[in-house]
Amino acid sequence: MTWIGLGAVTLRQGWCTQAEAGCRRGESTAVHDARIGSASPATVSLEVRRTVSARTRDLWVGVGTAVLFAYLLLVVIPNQIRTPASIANIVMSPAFWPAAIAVLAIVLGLALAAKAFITGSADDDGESSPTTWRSLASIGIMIGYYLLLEPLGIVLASVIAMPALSALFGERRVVMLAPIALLLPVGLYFFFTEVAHIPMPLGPLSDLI
Amino acid sequence: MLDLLASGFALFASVNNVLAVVIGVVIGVVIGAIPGMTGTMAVALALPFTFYMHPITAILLLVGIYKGAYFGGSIPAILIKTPGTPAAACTALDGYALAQRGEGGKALHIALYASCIADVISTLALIFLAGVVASFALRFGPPEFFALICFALTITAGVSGSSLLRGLISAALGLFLATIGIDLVYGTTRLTFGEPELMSGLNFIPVLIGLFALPEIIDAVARPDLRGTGAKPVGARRASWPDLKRCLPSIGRGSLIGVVLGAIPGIGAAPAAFLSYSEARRKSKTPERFGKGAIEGVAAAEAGNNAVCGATLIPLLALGVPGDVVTAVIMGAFMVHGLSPGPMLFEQNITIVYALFMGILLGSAVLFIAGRLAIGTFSRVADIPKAVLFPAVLVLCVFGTFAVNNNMFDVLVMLAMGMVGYLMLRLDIPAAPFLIAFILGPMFEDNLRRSLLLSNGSLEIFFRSWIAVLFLALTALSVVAVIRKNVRFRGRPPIAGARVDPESDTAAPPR
Repeated sequence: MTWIGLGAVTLRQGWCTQAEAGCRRGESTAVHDARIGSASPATVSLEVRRTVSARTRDLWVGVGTAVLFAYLLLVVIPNQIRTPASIANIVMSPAFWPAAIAVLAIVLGLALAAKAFITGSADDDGESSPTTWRSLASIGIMIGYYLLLEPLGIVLASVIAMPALSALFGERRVVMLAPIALLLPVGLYFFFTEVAHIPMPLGPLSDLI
Repeated sequence: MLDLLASGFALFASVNNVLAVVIGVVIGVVIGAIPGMTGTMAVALALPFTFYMHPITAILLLVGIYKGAYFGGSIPAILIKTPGTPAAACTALDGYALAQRGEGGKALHIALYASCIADVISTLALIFLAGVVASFALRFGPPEFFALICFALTITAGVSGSSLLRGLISAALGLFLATIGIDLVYGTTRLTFGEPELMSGLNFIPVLIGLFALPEIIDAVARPDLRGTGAKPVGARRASWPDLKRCLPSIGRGSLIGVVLGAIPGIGAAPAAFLSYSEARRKSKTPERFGKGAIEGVAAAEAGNNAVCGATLIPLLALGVPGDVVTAVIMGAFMVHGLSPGPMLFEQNITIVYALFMGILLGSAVLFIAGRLAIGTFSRVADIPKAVLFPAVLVLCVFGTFAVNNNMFDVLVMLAMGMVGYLMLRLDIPAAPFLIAFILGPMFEDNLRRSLLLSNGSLEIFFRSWIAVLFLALTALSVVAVIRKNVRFRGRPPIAGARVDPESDTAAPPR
């Protein structure tokens, strides 16, 4: 029974997955189409540019994948995997499986690049473009958070990192942020240490308790 | 049999387990209902909190969240057209049209009835089929498992993204990362760069949390704020008995589709919802109403995605092969407690399995009550500002990841995976095949090499049993079908019924 259903699935999944990609961003492809129709000329050119960039993106993703895995295959695998000298069958070597994946990925990457080069990418999901500096800033906050974990302990670092990220969202109301930024890390600390009995690093605060 | 059931019941019947189911479903519904939060994220974040619990309690909590989140996702899908989960995208097509006419309440109630009915059917399928599949799988050796995992990997890569190639690239990345650590046969280190922390390989939970929670946070920060999207009012109208009666055939078909697709490892909820929706439309006497507020459309989509829930647990429990990301997390919970799902679980720990079944069945009833309450209180959930929600999620990620092994290195791995995940999001590479491949990779390699050890290196061993041949043939078949699909239907609208009235929504918020 299960296997009979399979044919139907694979036949239809092209529709499903494309619509899914659109809907993940909260707008169906149909809405996207409609918007091109009614939008001002400026918006239309923006939409067109996005379709083009979807194609170049695929080209770069494909080439990037191939280059990354070629590097892994030719440099990293020989240096980082020690293979025993006496192996009867090459398939049994510890390096065989990682190397096989790398070869597969190079082929896939080149295929994606070739497809984008020849046909152009058909699936543009028309998402609103995110702002790069904001994403970089949020990554910066996360790295800072990590670096503070050891010296300040998990509670203090969280008390600092949470409002920092809120501020990046544009939230400035200290009265609203302060209680949550204090209560959540403290609450989690007591949950893990008292209920789950998992010790948490407290940093300088450990002298106080 | 009866005494096993009785001891299973004894194992289940505790306040903690019942509470776990109730709390799990409620958390799931609430998180699923928050735009921008997904069930996967909820389950991933909840996992570290369950370590100290009894295994049954822990798994029931996670399964409860899983169920709740699928229904929860339909609430924002219907009221503000921002599907909380990809699977709820179909629900939004007709649900939002209904909400615009002031019939949001009707759509939500039908969605709830469809979810609960499908959930019960799916759980019954799990209860009756899992044992059968498990006893069948007892005969599986390394070649059969290898072929099965091959099949699961291909399906995952083919279904979960907008293109097969990108899905496969994602899977290859996951497979490669899973090879870090000690080699299973010779015990030499692989790709550890001399770092002792990497000897045991990358831990699953930091990878999971990094891949599924952090990118959502970064993405939320990076997008211009679209607050005040304006949820449509629920409206006074509820679904009447004739409404439900009209939907029952669609619910039945959707449940069946969901169960069948869910039982195949790798497919997951979204394709089930889409297939169920398009079937309901095809069978309808008035297909033109679909997309413009057909109540059957909501019922079909919700039945399809909720019916997947119980069914995905069939391959997980019976074969030890997770079918989607959420079941991969649940598998992680089994492992943490020293249990490994698969045919041996049914042989050795059948009372645990029965206890789980009872909890999962109870979950359907809890879902009904929690869903009714959630419909009334949704507006308050949707108003949680992103500026508070996502920083809180970040703190949860760090605490949870650290708690797994008491280890800072895990936090670093999570952050690194978060950046990889965000890059993948920006490049439109799906993350699900990555994670499934990361889980299945070691099983794949292990079974491949053990098969070849058995056969002294001859590939002929994979063609010795009909089970292995069947799975390998299905793998080849699905690859061919997906490739043909990608070539032939290029440029067509996703689903003919997916056309939404252009005037209906001019500023769809990104989630």
